[in-house]
Amino acid sequence: MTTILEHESGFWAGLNEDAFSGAAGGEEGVLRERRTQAFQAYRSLPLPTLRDEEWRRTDPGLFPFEAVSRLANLGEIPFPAASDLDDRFDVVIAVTDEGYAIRDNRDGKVCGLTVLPLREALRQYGDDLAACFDGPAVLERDRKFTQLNSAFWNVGFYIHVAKNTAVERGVLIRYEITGRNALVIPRLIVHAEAGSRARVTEYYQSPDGQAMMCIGAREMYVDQAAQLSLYAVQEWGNGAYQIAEDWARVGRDGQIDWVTLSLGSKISKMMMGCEVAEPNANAFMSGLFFANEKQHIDQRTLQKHAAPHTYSNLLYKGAVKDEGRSVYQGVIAAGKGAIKVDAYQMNKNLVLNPGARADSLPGLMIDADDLKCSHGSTMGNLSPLELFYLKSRGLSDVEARRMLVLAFFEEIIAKLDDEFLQERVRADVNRKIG
Amino acid sequence: MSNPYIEIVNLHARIEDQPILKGVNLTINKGEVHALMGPNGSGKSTLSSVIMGHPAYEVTEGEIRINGENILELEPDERAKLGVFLAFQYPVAIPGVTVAKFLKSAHDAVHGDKNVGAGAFLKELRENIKFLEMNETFINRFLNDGFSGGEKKRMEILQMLTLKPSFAVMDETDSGLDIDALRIVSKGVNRLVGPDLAVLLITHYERILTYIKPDHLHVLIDGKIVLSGGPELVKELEEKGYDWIRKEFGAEVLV
Amino acid sequence: MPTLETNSTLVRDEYKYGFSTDVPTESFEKGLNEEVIRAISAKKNEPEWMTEWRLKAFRRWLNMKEPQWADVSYPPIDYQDICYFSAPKLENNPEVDEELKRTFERLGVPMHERDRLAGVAVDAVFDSVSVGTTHKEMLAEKGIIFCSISEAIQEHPELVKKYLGTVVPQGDNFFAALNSAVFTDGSFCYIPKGVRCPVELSTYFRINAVDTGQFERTLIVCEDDAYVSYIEGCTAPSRDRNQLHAAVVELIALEGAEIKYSTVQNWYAGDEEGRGGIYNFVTKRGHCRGRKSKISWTQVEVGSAITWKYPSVVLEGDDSVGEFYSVAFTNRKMQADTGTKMVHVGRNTKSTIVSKGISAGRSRNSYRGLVQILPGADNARNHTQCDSMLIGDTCTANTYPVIECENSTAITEHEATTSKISEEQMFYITSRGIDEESATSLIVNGFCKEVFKELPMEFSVEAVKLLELKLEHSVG
Repeated sequence: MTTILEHESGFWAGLNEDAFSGAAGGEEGVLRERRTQAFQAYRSLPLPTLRDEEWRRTDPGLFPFEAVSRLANLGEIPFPAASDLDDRFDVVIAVTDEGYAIRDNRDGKVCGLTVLPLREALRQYGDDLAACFDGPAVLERDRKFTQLNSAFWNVGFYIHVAKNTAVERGVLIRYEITGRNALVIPRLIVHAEAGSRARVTEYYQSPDGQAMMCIGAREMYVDQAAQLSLYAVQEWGNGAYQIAEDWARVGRDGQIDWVTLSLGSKISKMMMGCEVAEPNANAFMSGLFFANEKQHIDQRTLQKHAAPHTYSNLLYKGAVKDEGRSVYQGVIAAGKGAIKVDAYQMNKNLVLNPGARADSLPGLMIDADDLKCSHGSTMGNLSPLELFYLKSRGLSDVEARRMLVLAFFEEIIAKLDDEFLQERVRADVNRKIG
Repeated sequence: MSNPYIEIVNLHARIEDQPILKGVNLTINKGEVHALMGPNGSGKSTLSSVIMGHPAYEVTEGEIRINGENILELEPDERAKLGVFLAFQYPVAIPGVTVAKFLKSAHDAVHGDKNVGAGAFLKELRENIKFLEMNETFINRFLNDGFSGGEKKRMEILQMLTLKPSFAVMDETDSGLDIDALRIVSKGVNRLVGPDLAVLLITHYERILTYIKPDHLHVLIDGKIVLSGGPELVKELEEKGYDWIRKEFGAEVLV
Repeated sequence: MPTLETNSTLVRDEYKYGFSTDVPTESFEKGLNEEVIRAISAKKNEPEWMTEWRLKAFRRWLNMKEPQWADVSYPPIDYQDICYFSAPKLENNPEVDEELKRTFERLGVPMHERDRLAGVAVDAVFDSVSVGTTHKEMLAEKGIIFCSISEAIQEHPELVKKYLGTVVPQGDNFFAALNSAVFTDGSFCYIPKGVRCPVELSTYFRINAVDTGQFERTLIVCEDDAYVSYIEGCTAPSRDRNQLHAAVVELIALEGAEIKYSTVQNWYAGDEEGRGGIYNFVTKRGHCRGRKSKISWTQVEVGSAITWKYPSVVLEGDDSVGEFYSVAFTNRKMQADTGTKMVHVGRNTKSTIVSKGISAGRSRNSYRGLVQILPGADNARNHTQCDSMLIGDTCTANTYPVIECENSTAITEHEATTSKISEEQMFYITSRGIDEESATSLIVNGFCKEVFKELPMEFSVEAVKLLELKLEHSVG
């Protein structure tokens, strides 16, 4: 089924001058400038269709753009009911379809960490925002949804980590969207200054059966010798539709540990691009995805090597079950001059039953000669030998399978440097194994 | 007698701006075996790489002469044709290239004598393989690909027997070898030792020196030869260690 | 100091097949329409059904678009500026016959029965027509048919009708449709039940005339438990205008049958500036129809200005096996977008892909592959290894594999690497007295070994020599 979306109808017609003015209402300075630029760009870009290489396996027509409610800016609200995660972080941002709230757990202890709504950040960090919003991290500017987000974001945050400071517990941003047909367009800017270390965790939840849509974009800047961990735990309910386009740029001697866990949503289409932009920059990108029932999870990654002596290592592990479907598409791009580069990309898939489907499209685009780039991809079910071994020790078939699926994902889960979160993810995976 | 066969004069070399060799002087005549010892990081392997012309090292000062000719401007293959041979500490694997094919190519390149038929070449190769107590199936394997440490070192010696160099540099050929392999490797080297060969035997352990008897021994510390002497020096080194040299003589001291 | 920078002034391998043959020819006016197609058909004295088949393909082609997705770029092709039929005047002209034979001798293809290579039967195609097939009688004794496709249409219409276009349908893609409309010659092989073809069958394709497209059509059918090894070779004169070669090759393997198809493609690749050369837009597909059938493609691609080619296997029969072994070498301004498709339909089907790409000069070399495991392909297995080697820093190597899995009992593994010849390998080999060029050639041949060993012996030797020749001066 090919559906070509028309700008003139429904949702798309709704994202017009008026919606733009509404979203930009009262906004000034660089934020308004960027919105305006993005709005122009957004309008000039065609809607993606099944004919576009990137959308060939995820029909844009499957997103019920018509159904979601009108765009509304999310303002500040009182802090909603606490979650058991909250106390584990320095700063917690809670976002609902009513608005957002920020709680600071630091008891006045200053640790070089600043967390602000984007509009407030404008006052204190205007220059930095000018450098970071729609900044050099966005490697592909002709993307409809990145531009849509920049033009229409209705909730946004700025996280700044000052030079040479280490943030121990970091920031939690949790989305709990309960309203039917809610539309959330979140924007996140993270800037880890030289020599700093920080962790940002995002957690997405919505009730099962509830239709909603999230069109997110992130930009992350990791300066010289800084280290940033970004954990995104996506557990949207099975009525959620998600589009996310995220970008990171890592400077000299810097490092990003970017872990994306996609367990929820009905349809999810993600783009994660990371540029190791200066010598000795390191990117570790890890992903866990698990599509069961009728879930569809499509993700694309880009490891861009623009400078000599840059390193990236990517591991995405996925499982499909029931009628679930997954798509992994990855590219390692090494431009001219990107010598002494070491880049690796691995995608491993479990196809757990007939009816499920996994597609893997690893890719290498190499324009430099003195480097080492490799990728790998595997597909298969659980090893019969391993199953047999576990069963011979008394485990039931179901228990043995459960153990092996969890074991398969453990490599990714262990990358989360937070045992509480690890346990939480294990429990969620466990539930999905059924 | 004319010039000494090998002359290394005030050799300075660096890698990526890091100076390693800081003025090495060494003279080796044909028929002589010189052992070069020194602690880790003293520059032993750098010296062997520079002699062979490894592109990663830059010579900033000094000369290496063979028979009076400075070889520093020569490519590695040109040096090999002059008779220089390096037994690598870490031989490199070349998947897809068989030992036989490689040896024939190297043999033809070095000796420039393609008239030696494949038959004669194979006959000699088989003899050498037997002499080194290797399995004949060796020649059909890919060069150093999946070889054990001992196999790789024997492979180096097999190449040496094939190429018959006039100047052999053995770069820690003994490290990681068990006593049997050491005996075999030494037997291989000794087969060529004689009036037509100059040997520089680089080692970390004195063990190999009981199999291959050196005429001279040198100690390299911090990129310079600080001590030279006869075979009797081996025992002294073994008993007292390198720190003794540092303390006793400081730098620049030659016996 | 050994470096591997490309010295563009040295990238100048002599293309020794670049001569042209001066023989009286009969050529059509340039242009393409139904009249031209009828004329081709008439020239070949084809039956009505064949003419109609061509016309049907032509009408489809008119509504199709040239594919744009490959990683190659070239100016638009004017399909009305191509001559679709050119043939040497053979009738009662022994001198022409001798001249053609001399041409093939010069190309290393023995056409005189007295010189024939032991173990190889040859069909030679010169521009639009087959000019001779050797070993016919001996093959006929075994019931093997090996002749030009034109002859097969006359002599074995029932077989051609039964199989033509059943693997690559007319509308499969733009170039396949064009080929179906205008193909002029090619080879036909039929191996009856239980027969192992005792010799290699070989076709040598030669483009000679200027501005002539070559549209060859090859059809190979192996009945139950039959076996054949087939080899094709290709060359063309050096000309400064691009020429189009759009072939279709169909292979059909019935129960227990095995087809081994080897190609050494050395079409003229253009000069240093990318002027001239063949556009090699080819559709090759094999169909493992029967249980335990096997189709194996081995290709050594060292020529053509542009290569667009994905020899594929549809694994329909249970326990069938598909293989693809490829070496693609590009230098100068060559562009290659090549790879394979393995479509697993039946149970216990296995496929192996080994692709070795070597890019030098200012060339572009892409691997594009699809491994498709359909829901019924229980216990399907695929192993893919794609390696790229870059020589110099002005070339590009891309790898675009797609793996689609819809069966939970299937296992696929894909590995790919891109690297250059390591400094350590180079130092090690040159330290043994081998010069840089020979060292490169040693390493590259080692890199390609897995593929070369799949070629029939004498062609393997040829392929190694050819690659060495191409590598000469690619490094300086």
